[in-house]
Amino acid sequence: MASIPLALEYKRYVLYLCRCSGLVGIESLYFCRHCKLLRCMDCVSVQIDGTCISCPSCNDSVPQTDAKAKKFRCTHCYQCPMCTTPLATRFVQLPPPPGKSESAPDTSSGKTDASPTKEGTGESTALTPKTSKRLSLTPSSLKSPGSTKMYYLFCTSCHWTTREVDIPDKRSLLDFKEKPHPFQDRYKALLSYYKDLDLYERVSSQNMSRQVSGRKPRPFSSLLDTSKYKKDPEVQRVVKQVQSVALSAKDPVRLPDSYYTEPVDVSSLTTIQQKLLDPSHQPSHVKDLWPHPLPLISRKTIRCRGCDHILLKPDVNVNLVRFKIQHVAIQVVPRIRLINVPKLTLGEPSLVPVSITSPVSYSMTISFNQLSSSKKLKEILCPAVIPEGSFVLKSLDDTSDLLDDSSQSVSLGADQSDYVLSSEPGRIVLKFGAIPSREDIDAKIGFEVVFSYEPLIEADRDPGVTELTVPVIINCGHSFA
Amino acid sequence: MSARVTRTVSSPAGRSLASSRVRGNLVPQDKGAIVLDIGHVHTKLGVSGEPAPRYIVKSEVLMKPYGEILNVWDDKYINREELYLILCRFLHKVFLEYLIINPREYRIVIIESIVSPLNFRNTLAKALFIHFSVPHVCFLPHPSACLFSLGSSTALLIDIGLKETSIVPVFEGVSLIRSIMQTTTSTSSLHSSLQLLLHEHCQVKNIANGDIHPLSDNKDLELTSSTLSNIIMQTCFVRSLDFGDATPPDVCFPINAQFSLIISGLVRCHVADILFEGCDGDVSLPISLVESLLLCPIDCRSQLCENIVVVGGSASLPGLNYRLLEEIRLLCGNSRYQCLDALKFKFHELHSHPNYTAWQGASIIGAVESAILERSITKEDFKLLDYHLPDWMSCNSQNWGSLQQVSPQKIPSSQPGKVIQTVKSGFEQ
Ligand SMILES: [Zn+2]
Ligand SMILES: [Zn+2]
Ligand SMILES: [Zn+2]
Ligand SMILES: [Zn+2]
Repeated sequence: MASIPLALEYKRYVLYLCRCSGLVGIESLYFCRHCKLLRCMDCVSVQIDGTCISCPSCNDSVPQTDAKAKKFRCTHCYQCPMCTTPLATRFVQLPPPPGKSESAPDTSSGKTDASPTKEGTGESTALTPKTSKRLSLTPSSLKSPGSTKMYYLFCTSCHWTTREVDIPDKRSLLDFKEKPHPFQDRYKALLSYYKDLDLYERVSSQNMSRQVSGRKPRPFSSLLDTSKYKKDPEVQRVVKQVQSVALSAKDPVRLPDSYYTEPVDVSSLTTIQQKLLDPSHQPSHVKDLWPHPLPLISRKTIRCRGCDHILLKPDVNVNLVRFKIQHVAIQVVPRIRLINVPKLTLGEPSLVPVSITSPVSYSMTISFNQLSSSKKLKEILCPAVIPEGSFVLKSLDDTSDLLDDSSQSVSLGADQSDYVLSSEPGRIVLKFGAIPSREDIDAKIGFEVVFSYEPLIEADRDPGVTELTVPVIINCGHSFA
Repeated sequence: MSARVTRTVSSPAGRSLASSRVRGNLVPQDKGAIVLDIGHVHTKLGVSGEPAPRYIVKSEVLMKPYGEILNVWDDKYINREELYLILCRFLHKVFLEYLIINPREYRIVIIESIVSPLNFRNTLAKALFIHFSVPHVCFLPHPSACLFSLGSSTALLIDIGLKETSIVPVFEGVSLIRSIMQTTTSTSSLHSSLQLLLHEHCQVKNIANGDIHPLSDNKDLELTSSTLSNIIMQTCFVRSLDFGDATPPDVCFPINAQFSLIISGLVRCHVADILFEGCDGDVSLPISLVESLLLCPIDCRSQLCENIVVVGGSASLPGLNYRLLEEIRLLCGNSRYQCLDALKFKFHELHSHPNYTAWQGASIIGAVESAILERSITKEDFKLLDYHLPDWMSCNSQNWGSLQQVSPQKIPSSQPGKVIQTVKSGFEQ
């Protein structure tokens, strides 16, 4: 689980060391109020929130059971089979069938529509089905009850359309159904065949194993091995039936001469990536492409692995980016930033200016410890010089500041001012030091940040826990003076 | 068609047995199984009971927040602890981004290749049981999975992978492990052969000014492996020997907005020759196939030859099977393979695309709940095993064990297994 070396191979200036020994940016840290622990993305449990499944294109929220039945794809949004962009919907107004044609002349609205069968352009081009639904309620379309709309799909990015591949226009967006799997029937036959074989085997082995105790699980080969049914004509017949299809192995076919004579136009062939978008059919020619229903997306609920309390719960309304419950580290942990990439001197303490910002509304006491961590990590880090004593960060909105006579926003001990580069309410810039030992690699220092913690809710108050610790690793780069 | 069997077995005893097993297990209602085939290039992922995977995606994951894209089989990490994190992130993507399901509510079927490294299997099991707390994981051997998709119990399986091709004879459901052949002649040999041929024979056309110059002059034009596979799949085919020296027309293949490659007809029809010549001193596909047959008991051979199945991404190359047959026929003229000359060689037509045949088989068997649960390892088992899978998991060890029990009676004159190395050395002259 130790992911330290992996993470440190990448350049990111400040990383927090999670208790699972993963290194993460502060934005991926969660804070459990109940365990008083910081947890990263890899040590929380993430679950699909069944109430927050939606389509990224039309933003419709889809109930989980419906989504499951549709294999988690939208019923009326499609994806371009060439470039995966969501397809736009366009429609054509067809004149009403002859007989009630009195309203025919005004079926089409818009500046360019001279003939009734002219395509909807401009205003009638809808990016999402939702807007097209809205458009269909415009007065002009209401005036023509006899006319029908025929839809086709169009890619705004690569200009692929369903007409290009000879898919006829459809009356409804729901009609662009996926083609069934080419061997669906065979698949279903095999499915019930193996279900039967399994049941048969189970029954017959139960009869046999009455005497033999401690039956071991059968290997998969027992399901495949049909030779044992030779004595049972009933089963044998079914087996024969299924295998007769399987055993129709043939002589391979020689490639037609056209392979040697016909020129190949690569632009008419699909790439592997395009083929794999449709695993069932994997069309190799562009003319066989078919629009794919757009995959749905889901918001996730995040829980603490220790106590199962919810750390993050998204809002049910998929159009709003907000959370019902949100317990993240940036709400309680001081934000550590590197002010600039320091100029280093080999073997000597070099100044590393670090800014510390408090996110909380109470006065935060903060102090630093040397990292007491594993050997593995120590090998990567170089010795660090860290400020001694504790510093108090007053909150930004703490008005007592104004009333107070002392204008100093950070209370300092007598010899502590040496460490301070600058200070303001809620923020302090401190001098750290790094003693780089090698010139060829990035100098990294590590230290523990100990900060005070006061829960907002009285119930969470625990007299035992008033301060929290988080190890921080700063990459100082390797620019040597 | 299955009505008869159902009638025979739906005795009261059968019903009670089936239902008691379901009741006794943790999964109350059958939601199906998640079926995963984590390949070296692509991962096939989907749900049991469906004829095709829902997605076929690259076996890669973006390692946030550092921003590097890693393949889950990356040689650098395959034997290191970091693999756990890589697999967790990858499976997270598979379960929560693609499939949109909570994995702990499903049983998992993993298709495992016969050569998958021990650390990979172990770490995968750890990630599934510990990180995702799934209740059951079933490791289904790749050959069995392919056979389920065929509905056949005997086949000579040729699996052309990225780095290896394995020839696995399966007779009456049992993999004949002594006759398995492996060769490094595989998809990556196709890639290296193509790269070589392109640099020898191909020219680059500058789309803007129409300049044409040899590819070897254009050092900075990098051909990625995905470009190479696209060139192979879109323009190349397997030449049949009886066509003689006919050369197909050249093809213009755009690489980027600036350049396109003019792929000579020679390259198009000769790139696949590497599969029949062998690569890096390893034996070719036809030789490993006939060698494998020689290692099979004589009584099985004719049935195996009549059930040749070619799977894997490169199996969809046009003309591959025909050429394979031609080459085998040629080899049969050789005194070493004289004994195979009388056999008929027949190839199966798949009911899937060859890149997800194994997935389809696993999806069929994954839907048979009791069969999977019986052969699964549970979270508790895994804890008892001290978080280490046995060399072959319970179901597999049974598989191998049963082979040893069954083989003496079933397979008459089993030849002593030969080490693949000795076969190889025999062919270097
Ligand atoms: Zn963590
Ligand atoms: Zn939609
Ligand atoms: Zn497009
Ligand atoms: Zn907790």
